[in-house]
Amino acid sequence: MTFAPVGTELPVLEVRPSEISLFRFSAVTWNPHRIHYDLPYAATEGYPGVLVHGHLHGCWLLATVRRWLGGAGRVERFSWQNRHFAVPGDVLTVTGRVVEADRWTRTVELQETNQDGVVCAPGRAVVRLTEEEGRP
Amino acid sequence: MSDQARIHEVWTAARSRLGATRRVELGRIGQQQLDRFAVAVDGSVADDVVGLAAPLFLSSVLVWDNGPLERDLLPDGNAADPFSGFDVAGLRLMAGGQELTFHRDLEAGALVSLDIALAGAELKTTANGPLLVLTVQRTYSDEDGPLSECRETFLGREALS
Repeated sequence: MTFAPVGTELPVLEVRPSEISLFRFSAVTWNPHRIHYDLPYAATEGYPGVLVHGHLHGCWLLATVRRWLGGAGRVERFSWQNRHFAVPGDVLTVTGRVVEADRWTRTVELQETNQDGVVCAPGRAVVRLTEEEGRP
Repeated sequence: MSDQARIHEVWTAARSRLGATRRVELGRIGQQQLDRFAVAVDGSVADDVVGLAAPLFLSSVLVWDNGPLERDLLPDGNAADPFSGFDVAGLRLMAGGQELTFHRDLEAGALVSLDIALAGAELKTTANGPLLVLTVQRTYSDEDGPLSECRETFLGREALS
């Protein structure tokens, strides 16, 4: 088992959410929820800024896994939860670690935290290695 | 009607829709849709991650048709009937997360259909008041079979007055 044994840390992904990318994500997913682009509205719900979409948290977690994995395999299963909001101005850090490994698969635990160490989105991915990578 | 009565009303309506599956034809997925999604995901990231979140494109799109006219949207901008079958006006809905299985990669040009069902509706008591947890099950397929399956959770609380 040469590829990414248990304990392997994935390269960290740093994310600085911008209003422009939130707007573009709303547009491309046809999401009209004002909380993602209307600051006065977001303030009425008590938030300090417009909110990063839950799906965008998931995208950054998945991108972290696939950037690390490269051509060594493909993601078979993936999940995440939205635990804490993020807004433009936050600095988000996505980390990952291999927690289970067998010949053909690796399970990766993921976490997106903000600059205060608060977990915004934990996640988990199971990747299946290519035949070449799984060969003993 | 109190907010708590409203959340119970939505919960009751949701339970009546449990398990009912409907099919939606999403049409052909264009390269430009995938490219724009990639650019939006990459915009906040220092490193280049263009295209790496592509497997989440299908389950990230909230509405596939034109959606309601603007005058028919709720005050928060959302559609009143996002799950086709019951009105969620009076609640604040937030995405809770997804669990996905990816069977095959989505390719531009694929003719995609969606089978969607409400799989769960639970009303929980929390320190911040009642919380409605809705679970939606989706299967995306193209001409060659299933592409991905997604189980998504939505969290509903009473709207602020």
